[in-house]
Amino acid sequence: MESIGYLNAVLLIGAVLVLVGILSSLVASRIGAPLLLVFLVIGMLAGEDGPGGIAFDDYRATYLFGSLALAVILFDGGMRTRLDAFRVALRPSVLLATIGVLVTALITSGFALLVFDQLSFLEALLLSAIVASTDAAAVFFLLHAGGLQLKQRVGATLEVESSTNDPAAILMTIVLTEFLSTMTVQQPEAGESFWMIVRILAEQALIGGAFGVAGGVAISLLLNRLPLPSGLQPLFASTSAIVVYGSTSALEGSGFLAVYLAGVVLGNRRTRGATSVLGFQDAITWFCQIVMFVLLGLLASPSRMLEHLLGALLISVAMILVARPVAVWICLRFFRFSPNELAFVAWVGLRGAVAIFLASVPMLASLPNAFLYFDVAFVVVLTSLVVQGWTLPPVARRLGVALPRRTEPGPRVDFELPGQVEEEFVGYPVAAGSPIARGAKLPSWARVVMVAREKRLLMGAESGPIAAGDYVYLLAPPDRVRQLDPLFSAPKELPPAERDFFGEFVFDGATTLGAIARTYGFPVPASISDRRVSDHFAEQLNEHPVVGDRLRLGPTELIVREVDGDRVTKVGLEIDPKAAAGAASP
Amino acid sequence: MGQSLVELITPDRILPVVEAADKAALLAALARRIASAAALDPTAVEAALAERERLSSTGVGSGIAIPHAQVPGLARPIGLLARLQRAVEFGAEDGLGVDLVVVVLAPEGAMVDQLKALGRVARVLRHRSIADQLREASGAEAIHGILGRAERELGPP
Repeated sequence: MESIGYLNAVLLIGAVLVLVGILSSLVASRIGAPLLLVFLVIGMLAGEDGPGGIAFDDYRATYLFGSLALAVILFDGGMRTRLDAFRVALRPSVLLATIGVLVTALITSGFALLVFDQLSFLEALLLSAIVASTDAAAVFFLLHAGGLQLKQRVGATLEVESSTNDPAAILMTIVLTEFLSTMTVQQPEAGESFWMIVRILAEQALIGGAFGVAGGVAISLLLNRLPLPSGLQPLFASTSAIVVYGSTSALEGSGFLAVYLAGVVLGNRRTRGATSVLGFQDAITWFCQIVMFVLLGLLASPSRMLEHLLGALLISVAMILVARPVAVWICLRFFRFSPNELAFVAWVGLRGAVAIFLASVPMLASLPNAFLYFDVAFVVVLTSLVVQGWTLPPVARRLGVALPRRTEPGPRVDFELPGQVEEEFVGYPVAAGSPIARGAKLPSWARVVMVAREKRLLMGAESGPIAAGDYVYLLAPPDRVRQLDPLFSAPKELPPAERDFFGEFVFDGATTLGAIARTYGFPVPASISDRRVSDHFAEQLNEHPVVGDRLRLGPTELIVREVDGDRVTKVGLEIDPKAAAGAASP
Repeated sequence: MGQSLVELITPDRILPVVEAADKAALLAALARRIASAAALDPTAVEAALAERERLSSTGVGSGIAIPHAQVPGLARPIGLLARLQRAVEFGAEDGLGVDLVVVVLAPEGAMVDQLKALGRVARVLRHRSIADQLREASGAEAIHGILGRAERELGPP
């Protein structure tokens, strides 16, 4: 009976800690602290050296829950990633996730050798591998905290990087741990082991990629085919994601990569119940974030950490100021990132839960110095959350990579049509003053099924002209349905920040540079006078333009407002009288 | 330093009550008023403003438009502020009708002066509170006073 009492106490304490985590979000948003840091601190306060005094040192349980939580978080992040993000981010991210991790680890290991003279080179490398990858949980969380919206080039690059770079760090950690725990056994030659690592990495990526894509397609097909009660759909999706993670890992593939890609595939396919799946994901992702970080906080022993505190802080500083910037520069110099974008990606090398739970690998293998790895990793994560996490929004604004917040979702209501996924059935209230209420025509691909007017339901043909106050129900192809939103919404004022950021005047991407130049009377070279704005961006700046990109034209500045694929469709014109005066004076 | 806002938009070029059926009629009416104030050819002014609107709307959102053009025969930029009884559809990005219009004309080729004048106008109108004061002010002199105060409070551009 005593053990039941104990288990109940564990449940009570656990639930109270999660509740404290949930409520602390209210306080954290006031002071702008990164919430993950708050969760971590709650864990530390509840832990052995805090007022809570809970002595928790179950590294296995932490590892198990950490993997589970990370899989859930990555699946959720994948589901919210639009395929469009890969347009700008795929190649830079892949380089950062491979070469970037390696370079970060190598540079960090140099500092680790200097700081901790008890470490051998391989041990220093192990320590660095543990902290070498950026953390998806932290990145997905902090990049969107407080309604922040980043330019797609940096936001997507950081997200895809963090989702794909764990395999490299995990692999290095596991391989090095194995080397170090079998020191007495014959060591393989350096060249041999290098190629072995490359081979394993490639295998991990290939298996992970294949399983992820196949798993995503399978989950989507099953959701569409199986007549599951709606309450079970989200649970089915999330559990299947864990199956994808587990099976891929069991076959020596990268489970994290797989579960992320499964999320991407699922999130970009037409799937029944997608809204409820996302709603459920949102809740369990929060839960996982809270439990994972509280658990990691509990696991830490701050009093023991003091021993290595100074060295760990030095490592943190070296990573933030040297290792990450160098790695980012090496990887991204091949892509057309602006200096500010490079600086931002370099600054946001957020470390998080992965590092802490990778640090439990040497612990589980009982390597010498295992506590040192763990304590240093913990301090590195803490420093990263405090220094980088806390400063992220102001740095983003200072470097001009934060966009003004865009409008919230429209008034559309989506209905599930069983067995029908080719066309979407949607409903709109017709707002007063909206284009439709003022007589605008619906596009030909949208078919009105019925109109609810003054408590009567009128079928498509008998409805007559649509008026404000009606409810319109129509069928439209899923890929175009968003285009209907503005037709039914009341005109809405652009927030002033919009004009501060994008300038006053809007031009179409098809406008020629010459036409703009003539309006303001500044010269442009004849060779580019007939060039369209959209082509000019493609030519001068980047083959994958994103909203917020800027390009100087004479005394003015053009700022991308909208893109369609790789084509700039709208730009804002920023008037800069200071630049005008500068251009005019010799 | 250049021209201040109150020099650009003198009280005689502030029209607190304007009525227009649509965008074209509005631009024509404002072209006539500003042309007569500066002894310009009204048709040329209207044509220049219409030409600029063809390129893209000068409606900047929040019910504000800043039509502008370069025209021959001016010595320095001039502005005109008009308040509309009823908002007019202007093709602005946010889809809202326009009820506060500032026309800015500049001498031909006077790029720097034109951009400075536009910059001064735009800067003041970015502030919601200032735009609302302009909408509620009792008459031309009051509007002129608000412009002067706004520019003083915002400091040098």
